[in-house]
Amino acid sequence: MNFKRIQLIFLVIFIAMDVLLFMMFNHSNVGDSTASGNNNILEEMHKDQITFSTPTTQKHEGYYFSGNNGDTLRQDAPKLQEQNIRFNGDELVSEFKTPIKLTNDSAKQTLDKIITNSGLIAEGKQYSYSKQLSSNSEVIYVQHVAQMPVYSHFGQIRFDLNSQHRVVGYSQNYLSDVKILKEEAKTISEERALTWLYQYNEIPNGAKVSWVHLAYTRLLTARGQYVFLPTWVFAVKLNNSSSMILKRVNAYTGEVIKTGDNNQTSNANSEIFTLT
Amino acid sequence: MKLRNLWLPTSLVIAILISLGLSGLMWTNPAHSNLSSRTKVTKNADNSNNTTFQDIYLPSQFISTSKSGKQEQLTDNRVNVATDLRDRMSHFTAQDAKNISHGNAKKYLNQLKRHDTVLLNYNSAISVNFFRKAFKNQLKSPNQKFNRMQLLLNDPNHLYLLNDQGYRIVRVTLKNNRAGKLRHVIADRMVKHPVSFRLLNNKVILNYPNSFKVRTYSYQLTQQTQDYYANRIMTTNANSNVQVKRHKNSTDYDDHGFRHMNIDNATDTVTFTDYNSQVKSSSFLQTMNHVYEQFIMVGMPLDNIRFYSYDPSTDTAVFRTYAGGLPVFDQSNFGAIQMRVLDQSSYRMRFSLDSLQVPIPPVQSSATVMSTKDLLQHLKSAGVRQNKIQDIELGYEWSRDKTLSKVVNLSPTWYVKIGNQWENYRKLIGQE
Repeated sequence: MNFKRIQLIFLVIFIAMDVLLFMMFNHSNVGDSTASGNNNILEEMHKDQITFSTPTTQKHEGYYFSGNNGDTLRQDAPKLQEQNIRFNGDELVSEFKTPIKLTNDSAKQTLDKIITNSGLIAEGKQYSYSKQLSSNSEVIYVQHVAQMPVYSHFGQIRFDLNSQHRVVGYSQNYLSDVKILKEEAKTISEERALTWLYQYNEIPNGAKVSWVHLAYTRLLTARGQYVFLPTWVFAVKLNNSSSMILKRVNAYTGEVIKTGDNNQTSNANSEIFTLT
Repeated sequence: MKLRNLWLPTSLVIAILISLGLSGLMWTNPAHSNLSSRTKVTKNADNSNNTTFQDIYLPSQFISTSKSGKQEQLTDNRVNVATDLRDRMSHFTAQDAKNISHGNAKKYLNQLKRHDTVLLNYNSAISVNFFRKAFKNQLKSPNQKFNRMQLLLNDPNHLYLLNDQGYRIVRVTLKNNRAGKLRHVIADRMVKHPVSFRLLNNKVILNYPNSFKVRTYSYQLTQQTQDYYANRIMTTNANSNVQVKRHKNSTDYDDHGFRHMNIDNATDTVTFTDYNSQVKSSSFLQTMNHVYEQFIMVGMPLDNIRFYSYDPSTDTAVFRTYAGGLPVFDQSNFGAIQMRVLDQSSYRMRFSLDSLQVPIPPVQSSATVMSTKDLLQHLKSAGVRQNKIQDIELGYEWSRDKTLSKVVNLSPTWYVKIGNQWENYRKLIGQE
């Protein structure tokens, strides 16, 4: 029965080979797909102890547009009541005659009412509350253009709060003369933007991505106009610090947009926040 | 007893067959092989490019005809006409194609003027198979060439394939087509210029009866570096070292094997020749697919770049930058990218280092363009013989801004094709 034994040995060898071949075949299949490519990167990010909520894969649409801080606010200023107004360049700086009291839970509702009152705030209907950009000392409302928020100090209202949590005044910039520069185009997905940000080494190990928004931010200034484009804005919290860094990714090309001196430790993307 | 004796040889045979089958699969399918470096290059490049096959091969012109017969060319304002129409075009299946007419110019012009329709136009004839891929639609008709597709808004069960060459009209019967969404697109926010069709030297051209205003654009000029392409396409073979020769106005790269690249510093254009690229150019679709794959391999930015024309006699495809739905001329003397298949295993590609990605506010928001009649009159009085005019097209002139560096202004103007070359009409009437 020697022949039988030889057959058995061959069978075992061939089964082992089948398993091996099948594994190789499967492996190369996985490596081919780009979708799983992104998943691999997300896994890698988990291994680097980066915390983030599962990104969406949906593509959005947006424009390139230009605008300026023209004299709309100056024209509207005489209508404003109950406040002292001055202009700091194009920025309207106002101090309420009587500070407005805010309770912790109804801050948004109170300010929403104020902002839509054209006797108190000029063009207020164009702005909406931004929880993420607001802090204990400042409540921020952002202007909207083409159904998307503008994260830029050129289109913001910043309410200043005093230590008693009262609104003492605000400063405002308004983007006017908005012109669409190019027809609507598709953006990349949040997942794509996140994986690119990681691959460009912009998210250090152990960091936490607190929130991600698609918003218009300024790319450049040309011919006296600010040029905006859709960007994915990431708020990254470093491992051993409480401060947040804002990162911008061009939502058309996926490039990381850097502004000025990128101070890694400060709460700074000077395009989005005004630093005083 | 017999069965017990048989199980060992049978399972051995099965195991051998499985292993043969699996190894066969791995050998025949190059995507599963680690040795195939070519597929790898393409895969990596895919990550950096957002432009798909479908985007680059969009039709170049859209004409709507209203219920009352008013014809208008659709150009972009807030929406991109081409992608919008493509995305909202219903996915239909088509069989049964029927030849309606052939060689009758009058009948052909009447077909172009058919009321309540949308025309999707290409500058060169494309194939049914190509359309199927570009539009992800199931057009199951005999593979034939056409350069216009006419969608009927009041009859979702038919469409027409038209070919200027030979004035051929083919009627296709459709299934599962819904035209409702298209009507929305036409009603949408886009710029419309009144037009009509006419023949000029037996060539169908668009006639603009009145002078009209067209939007101008300004763009920040994005320039790719020479090193980028040198690294990307000249150093694929690790064993070879690339020889670089610098001349006064140009630089030559040669890998001592299959690839050669020349960069002209005066015009900022690259000429890249690949002698080792299997071109399966047996069909139009395969050629165009190959062209697209080579673009991805080379990695030039494809923003705003679209297919312009294909000349089968020289096997040359031309791609142009598009702005607001109109082609840009004068970027170089060949367009944005020119791809010429030399033979079964090689091609020559010429492209510009310049690309337009970031729009900026233009100095003036629009410019006026004269009517076709005035244009022909101007050309006539300048001594250009009408029978020499091969084609006329509205396009953008690419010019560098005089005060801002790295800014390109696009202003609308007329382009006239004479002696197989597109010329700005101002040059022909001696204004430049």
